[in-house]
Amino acid sequence: MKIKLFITALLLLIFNIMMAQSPLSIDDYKQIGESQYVIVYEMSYVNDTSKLDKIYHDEIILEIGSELSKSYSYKTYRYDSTYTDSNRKGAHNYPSPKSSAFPVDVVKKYKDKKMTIYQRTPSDGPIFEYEENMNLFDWKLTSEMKEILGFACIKATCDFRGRNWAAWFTMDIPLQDGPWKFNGLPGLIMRVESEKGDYVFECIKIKNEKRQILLYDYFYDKSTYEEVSAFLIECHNDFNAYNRRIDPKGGLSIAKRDEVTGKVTFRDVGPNEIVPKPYNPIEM
Amino acid sequence: MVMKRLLFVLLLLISLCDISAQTTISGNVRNEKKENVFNVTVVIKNISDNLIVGYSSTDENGLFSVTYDSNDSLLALNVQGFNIKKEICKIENKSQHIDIVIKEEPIVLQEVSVKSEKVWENNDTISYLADAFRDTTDIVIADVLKKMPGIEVKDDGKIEYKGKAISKFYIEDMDMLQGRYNIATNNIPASDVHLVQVMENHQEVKALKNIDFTDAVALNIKLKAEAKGTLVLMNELGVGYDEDMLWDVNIAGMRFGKKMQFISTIQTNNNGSNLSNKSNGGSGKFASTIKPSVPNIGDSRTTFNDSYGLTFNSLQKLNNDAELSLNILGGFDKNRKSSFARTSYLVPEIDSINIYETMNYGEKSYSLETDINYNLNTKLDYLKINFNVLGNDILNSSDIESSSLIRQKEDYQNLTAKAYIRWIRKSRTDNEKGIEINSRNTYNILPYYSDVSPGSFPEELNNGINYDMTKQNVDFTSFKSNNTFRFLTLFVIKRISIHPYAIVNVERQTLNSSILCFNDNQNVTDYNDNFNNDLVWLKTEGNIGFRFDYRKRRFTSELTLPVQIRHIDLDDNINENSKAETKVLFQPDVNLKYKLNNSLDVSATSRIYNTTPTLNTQYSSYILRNYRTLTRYDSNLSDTKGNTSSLKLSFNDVMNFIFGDISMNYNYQVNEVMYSQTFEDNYIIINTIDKRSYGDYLSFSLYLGKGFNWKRLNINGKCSYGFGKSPQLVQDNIATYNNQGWNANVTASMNITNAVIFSNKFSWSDMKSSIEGQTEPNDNILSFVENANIDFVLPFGFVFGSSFEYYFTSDNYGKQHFMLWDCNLSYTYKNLKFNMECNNILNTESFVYSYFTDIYNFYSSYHICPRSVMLKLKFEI
Repeated sequence: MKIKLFITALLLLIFNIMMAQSPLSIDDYKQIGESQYVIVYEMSYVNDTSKLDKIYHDEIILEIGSELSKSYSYKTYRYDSTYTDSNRKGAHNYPSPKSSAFPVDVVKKYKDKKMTIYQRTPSDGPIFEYEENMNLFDWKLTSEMKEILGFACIKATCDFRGRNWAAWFTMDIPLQDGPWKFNGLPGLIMRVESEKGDYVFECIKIKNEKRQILLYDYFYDKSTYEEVSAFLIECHNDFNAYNRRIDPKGGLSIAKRDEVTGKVTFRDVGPNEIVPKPYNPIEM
Repeated sequence: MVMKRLLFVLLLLISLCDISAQTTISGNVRNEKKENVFNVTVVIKNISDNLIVGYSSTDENGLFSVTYDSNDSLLALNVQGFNIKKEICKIENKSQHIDIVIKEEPIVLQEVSVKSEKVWENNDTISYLADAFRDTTDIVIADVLKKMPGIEVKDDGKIEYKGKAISKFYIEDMDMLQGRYNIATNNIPASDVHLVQVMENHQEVKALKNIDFTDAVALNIKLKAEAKGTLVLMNELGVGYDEDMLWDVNIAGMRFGKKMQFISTIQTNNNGSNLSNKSNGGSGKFASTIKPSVPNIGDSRTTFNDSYGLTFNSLQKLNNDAELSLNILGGFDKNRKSSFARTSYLVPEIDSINIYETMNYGEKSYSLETDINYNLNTKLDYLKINFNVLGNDILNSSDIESSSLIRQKEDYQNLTAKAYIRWIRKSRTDNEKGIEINSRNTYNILPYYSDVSPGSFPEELNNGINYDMTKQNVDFTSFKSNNTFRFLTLFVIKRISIHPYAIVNVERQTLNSSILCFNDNQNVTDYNDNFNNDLVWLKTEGNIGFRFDYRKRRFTSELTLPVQIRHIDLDDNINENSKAETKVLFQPDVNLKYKLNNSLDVSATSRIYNTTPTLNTQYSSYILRNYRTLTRYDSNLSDTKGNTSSLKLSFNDVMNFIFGDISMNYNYQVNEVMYSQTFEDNYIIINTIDKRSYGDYLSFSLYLGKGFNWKRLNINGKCSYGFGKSPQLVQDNIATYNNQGWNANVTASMNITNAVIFSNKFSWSDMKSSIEGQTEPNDNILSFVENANIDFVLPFGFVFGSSFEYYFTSDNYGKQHFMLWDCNLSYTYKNLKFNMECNNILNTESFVYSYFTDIYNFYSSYHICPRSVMLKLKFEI
């Protein structure tokens, strides 16, 4: 007889769970544009609100072209390319996943004023693709000014999906873009942070560079913002159930009967434990 | 008058509009070629304080519109954008339409760069703080591990992570127990553990870290400082009652130091609990007695035993990279089994031959095992040397009531010595190249003795005269050496990676057997009869193979092309003849997978196989396989060849939580000889006939599952159908046996509340077996199983669980049904954990099951442990 015990209070738990996505091959892609500028942001965020001192870091690359721009995580790109490289050499290298890699790519198409978001999910989960309007941000300009990287920046604020955001943009760089989904200010966003300070993007590099802007040839699951965010909340509410969703046969067990001989073997039913994970999404 | 009023209202309205001061400036932006320009930013600023009052950008028609609020009389209008020369002009603060012409020119930004903070983390292992998971009800580390996400601890102490068995269990980074870690999980006190580290994709071999992807998972237990270097004693005492006293005692002493660790355990029980040092004695290879067949429903239900075990495990860290471990395990076990079985042979042109046997069996066994392991693990080299010596001695006796009373006795030993070497050497210049050599060597000595009374097969063995006892010795020795060599990575051509390997195997075996007939304690065997075998078998194999892996976006394929040269020498020292054979074999293997879309995958596998004959079918003088089966074969080194293929379509819609698959399996086999089975009443004689035979089997299965968020409900079902035919030579007739079966099962599990989980599984199957061309006889087995489990977490530290099973079987001989019900209650008080188990509450006497195999239908009613109550207490000293 198996005794099943449950996790009760989440509050006292202090753990660092790996919620990283698996690396993917970058061998197959198509070019969707060409960049003229490459902006690099350092992203710092808190994944577990009970551990405010545990800060994750990533680098967000923003490639800006005349028709579109793409924002993606450099960490994710780096371990995807290490994985691809080793595979090319015949080795089956699986670089250690970084749980702090930010799993969202955003492609903004200026003409249509629409952006396409590509969201990766933990382990071997699906890659979602959904579209949204670009003008989701109702910025209010303030009179506050600050200098960032030698540029004079003006502060603007807005409420977006459960957070109060403050962004500093500079009129000296006439690009209406920013990291992740941010856009719609009359100059490049140099720094944007949430009111609680649990999400911060800060520009650390500006380059004039011609680069191919690529879209990788993965199997994307077309969906909507609402579906995807509900899915991610569920995934974090019970990682155990999420895992079984991704790999249904793993861990589920049944009374097994040999088809021909009829011999019955029993395997215990897997644990039905609810395994919550800390989740502090950028959109709430 | 009315007109004046109207005018006044109008003016008021207009003035009100003026007070709101909302002004809209709209316009059109074009370039010098008079084309509309989109995505141009238009910003309106106060000239007085330079504050931005409004902004917008142009659409695809170059149109913009800015609505703003300002009291300045003059405003600045900025026009800027991607590759657009910035334009500023002054405008009046009033609604207007402005057309703007801009100049397009590339804009070069002022480059700037700042050193980023430390963004790249080093440590990817997940660490769980044990204290955060531990509560007062946890005594040993197994209790805490169960609560950690993804970790499941089985009843015998083995650990699985996300459904997969862990590959290594380290304590303070050292692997002392070499896979017998259940000794540790059930004995290390929970309060002594500081961290539990889960290392996914754990490549234990440092030299293979960047070469071989592995999905193995390892656990590492880090102890608290105060627990290191101290001696800990963990105890579990249990008493109970079924028809006699039951006991279950486990005592473990352990010490974990920086350089040396040991765990020593003493265990004894008679309630079927697994001993951590359980090593199988194994049955005789060529002959055995007929014993009750144990159903797979858990040792504690089926075992009537008295067991004692002692283990000693230690590890010494020699330096940072090398360790030496020693494990000694010893045990004594006494057990008994009883059952009633009916074996019905489906025979052409006769009614079934039914053999009824009521069996009572008792056994005593001793075992001793010593294992020494040396490991050197550095980034460029890996060396593992392992020696293992095992000795077993088993004595048993049984009696069978059939058409007569038969007594059987066995006395056999197993002495095995193993040596295993694994060596990996990486290239000093290229990090991805290197070689790996594996050598596995085993030497077995298996002496075997059995006797049966009354004497079996008097017709064949004693010139037709009945006699008292058949005595048999079957002594077998074997030396095997398997050696593989591979390059770690070698060629890559475009997207195909090529892995070459080489294998060399040597096998030398001897078989010495003799059958003697005894009457009135005198050896009455006729010396002219030859019931002895003396064979020497030598097989050498060389394999060279290539594996080709090809991967492109939707398609993965793996093709293995091995070529084997095999040489066999068989010497028959009694008949003084020899046989030799050299063959070149080709056994390709292919695996293909194609991703149709996000949720649909199709995969196919196929392989050709050619199995080597073994000594089991090469002896030409009689061996009494059991009291009612006499066998001898022509030593003609015959192979079995065949092809196994499968095709599967898998579906997984993650968003909607629906998944399933449809698959088809096919197996085709060619045998170069047939084994003839001749019945004389209940007795079978097996011989070989030089005749080719073909058999095949085809099956389909469908599996579907859906998960729901409501109460974590999960339902999945599987349904399958299979049919096949195999030719058999029975009573000198070749008959084709047809087998077909349906099988369906459904499982559902849910969390009724946070404190109650429920799960249920039921399965049904219907199998038929018949001889082609005959409507009678045929056999049909229908069975149904229903199993429900429920667990409650109660207040004050109590946990209650219950499991109920209902079985139904129906075949040509009748219907049977019975139920099994177990309950379990546990309670923790301070540092003590109490556990009370009531098993088989309904006191069901026997577990009944039946199945088909080849040409017979087997039915067994196995006597299981009666109703019992067991109370256990676990605590630390």
